[in-house]
Amino acid sequence: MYSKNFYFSVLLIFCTALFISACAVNSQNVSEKSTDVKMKKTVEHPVDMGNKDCSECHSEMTPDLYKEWEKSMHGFAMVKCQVCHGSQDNFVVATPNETCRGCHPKEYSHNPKPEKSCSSCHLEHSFAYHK
Amino acid sequence: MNVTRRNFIKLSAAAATAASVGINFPKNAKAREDVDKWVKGACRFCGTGCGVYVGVKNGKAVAIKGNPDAKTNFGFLCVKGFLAYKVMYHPDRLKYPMIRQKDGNFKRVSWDKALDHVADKFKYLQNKYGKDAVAYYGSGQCMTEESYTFNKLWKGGFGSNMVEGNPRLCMASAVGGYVSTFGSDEPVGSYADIEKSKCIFLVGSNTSECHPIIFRRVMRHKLNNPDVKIIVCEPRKTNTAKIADLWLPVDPGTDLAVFHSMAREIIKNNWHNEDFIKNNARITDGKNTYDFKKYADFVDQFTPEKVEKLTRCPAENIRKAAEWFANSGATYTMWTMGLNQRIRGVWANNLIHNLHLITGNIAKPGADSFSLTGQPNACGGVRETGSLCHLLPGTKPVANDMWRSYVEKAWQIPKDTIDAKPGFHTMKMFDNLGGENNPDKPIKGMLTSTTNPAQSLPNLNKYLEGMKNAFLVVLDIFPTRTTQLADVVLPAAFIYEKGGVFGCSERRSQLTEKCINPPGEAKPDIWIAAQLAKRMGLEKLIPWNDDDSMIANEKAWTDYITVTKDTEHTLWGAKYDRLKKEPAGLQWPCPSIEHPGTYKRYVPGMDPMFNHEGFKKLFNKEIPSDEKVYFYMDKKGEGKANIFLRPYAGPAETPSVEYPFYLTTGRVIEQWHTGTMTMRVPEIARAHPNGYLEIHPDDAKKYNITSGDMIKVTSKRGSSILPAVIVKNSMPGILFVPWHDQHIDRMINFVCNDAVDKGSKEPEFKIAAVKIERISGPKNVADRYVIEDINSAFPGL
Repeated sequence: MYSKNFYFSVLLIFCTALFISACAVNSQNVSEKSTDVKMKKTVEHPVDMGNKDCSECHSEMTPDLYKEWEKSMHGFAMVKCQVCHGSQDNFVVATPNETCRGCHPKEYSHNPKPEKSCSSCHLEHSFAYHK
Repeated sequence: MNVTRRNFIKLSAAAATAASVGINFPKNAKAREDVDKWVKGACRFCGTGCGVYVGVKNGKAVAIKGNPDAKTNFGFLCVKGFLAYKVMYHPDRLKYPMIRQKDGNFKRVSWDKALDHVADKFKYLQNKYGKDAVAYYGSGQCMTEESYTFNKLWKGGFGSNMVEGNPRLCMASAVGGYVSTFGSDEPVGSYADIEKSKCIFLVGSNTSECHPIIFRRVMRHKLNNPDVKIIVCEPRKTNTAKIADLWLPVDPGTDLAVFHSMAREIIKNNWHNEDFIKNNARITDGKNTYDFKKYADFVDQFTPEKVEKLTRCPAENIRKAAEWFANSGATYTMWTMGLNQRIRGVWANNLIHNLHLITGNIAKPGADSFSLTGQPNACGGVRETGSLCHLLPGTKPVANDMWRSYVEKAWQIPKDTIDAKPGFHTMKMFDNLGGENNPDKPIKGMLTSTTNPAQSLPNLNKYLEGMKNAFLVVLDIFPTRTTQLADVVLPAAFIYEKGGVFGCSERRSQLTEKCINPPGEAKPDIWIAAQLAKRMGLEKLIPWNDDDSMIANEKAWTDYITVTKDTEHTLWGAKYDRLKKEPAGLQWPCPSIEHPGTYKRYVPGMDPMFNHEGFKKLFNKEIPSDEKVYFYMDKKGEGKANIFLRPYAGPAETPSVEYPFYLTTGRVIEQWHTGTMTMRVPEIARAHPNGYLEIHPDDAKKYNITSGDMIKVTSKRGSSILPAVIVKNSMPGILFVPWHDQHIDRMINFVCNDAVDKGSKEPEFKIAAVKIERISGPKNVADRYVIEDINSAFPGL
């Protein structure tokens, strides 16, 4: 059985995301500020990360995900969780394309569908070329 | 909130699902630009020389992206370079000049007051104790223009060779290796050889963490060409070894025997290249020359079985490595501190060059003996400008009469202004640094820039008091262990706040434009140097006293490339306006504005020095035009490189009954040197928030150590207390500690050895004999410790 807090958290995250999605789809001219706000509201790490490295928990808590990353190009190149997902204060679940741009500037500027996130086509954590 | 694994997964999944619903960005997302402009530059961190663009919005740096046109990184960056802009906005930034008061605290003062104080004190010390009483200690992280300016001020202005820099601690052995084998510093080839190679030998280098973008190129090359062999020779089985076909484990400091044994196997199996050896190399012990048989006889003693007993490297691995190295068709070796930071660092470099020379794996596509530089501007800023105690611009010795006179003429200073006698190398310099009340310490004052010797020197206990007692002026951007010992702190500008040139491992100079203004009253080093010169009556020598750092930089750069115009390092074609336009910088030799830069040295048709009349005349070179390869910097004038007969020698310390372990130290991918910058970026600090001790499970069991237990590690020189991490990375008996942690209990350099290489004067950071003791059970030391308070005291001093 899960606690009431758990169900409430899931519901809150899902509703927020739905609301943001609706805004994004319906608006052609979303201001940068409102984009920032919605990103912040979708982005709370479920638990206090303390000073731990992400891998300390995720290698045990999400081992399949962790192994998938470990075997990927990012894993071999040691592009670790926090590079794409941030730290406690700037945590994001879905990595913004502007983060991907840091290492993939050409691909970012050549993205045929800039309205989509990079991970729409490139598998998260395994980073195969296309889904 | 307590979270079980099941709840954790559910929460994560829910969050991910929610996020995936919102992955549609506004349709005009591409048009929405989150920066006002992108400014071209180079990465602030390692020696790879990654090209970057800094995103600026409203006068603030808000992003960094890789430069896809850069020939070093093709747009890729590691986490340090990607997040470097965040360093500039940390609240701990030093923003105002400060002078330490009698109560021990710093007081903010005006720039005029601070500079007058420093200049007056320097003049006083030089007048009272002689021209060498004040030293400069710089960095492979200063801009080329800055190092050149300080070097010129000291050597041409003060007539003092008390000029050193932290590249002495990391690259001096590589310099010694290149100069003694080929007659000239820096590699023959380029990174471009990686993709042309058939076998890559990574030795003494955890490339994946210390040069991650080079590792990415190696990894990609292997992925595209599975037949390419990757050999890793390291005491630790690091992340780098994940892509290796063959690992050569060795006890620290014993690998000279492995290299000789590989040479033996190559010769025994007739895999050596007789023609190349005959035409392009000679056998020497440094004094006399010998025939090849002498070399073959010499290495014959290093049988793989015998070497296995000495090094713990399996004989079969040595044989296989020799075969692949010799027969691949194009072998490319890369190394860093694992070879350099040794009392036999120069010899280790020589022996790697030996392997390339006897197999002809040099001066051809895909083959090279390539030293990776640790710092972003150790090559360009310090080695090439000659900002070390024994050098002048062009990496030529101060003791060379011809070159000294040439530089004096170029600098328009009277003959014999520059001292013919080298100054003190780094360890000797700090050993001779002290207060006015100590007659045994002739150096009474020091100016340090962009480095943190109070944490980074080996055997710290020996040198801290001297730093504290001397008149110490520190240029930096954050409080550090060194500012804790300083008398004057001058707030410096970050690379993107001032601009300038960095020269990376592959002879490539890249210009960074100034992107934004520095915070508060922070100033570029070049301005500080010029202001000091002016106050000390040397404005004519340093006539780039400009408030605009890019104007001052251009003047200094032009001065520098003028002095070195006719050397084999010429960057005469890399004028400032050209460097601003070049998307990927330029590789020297680059003798004219039409020249594209040099991919491969010593090969006619590729290397412009074969036809450089100014160079040939100045250095009295006769270079034949019909040679396929010609090492024209050969001191004997025969165009040959040296294959050295170097006897086997181990490290300064080996494990004993009292100190039964080897300790080796190094970096981790996220942290840079003493962590002063990287530990202030939250995403980076989260990874490796503290130092730790890696220990093999067998050793942990023996000492009843479980994961996280606090362990005291002690050498003859000092100790550190660190949490244990139990891993099979190393062989039993070998411990590893990363050295970025600033916490006094975890500063591992108290333990490290300061014994130096006789040739390069580089200390043996990499190897110490230590003992361990379990102090307690686990403690939470993941505190991301940084020195925040400029008035905090250095513990115990």
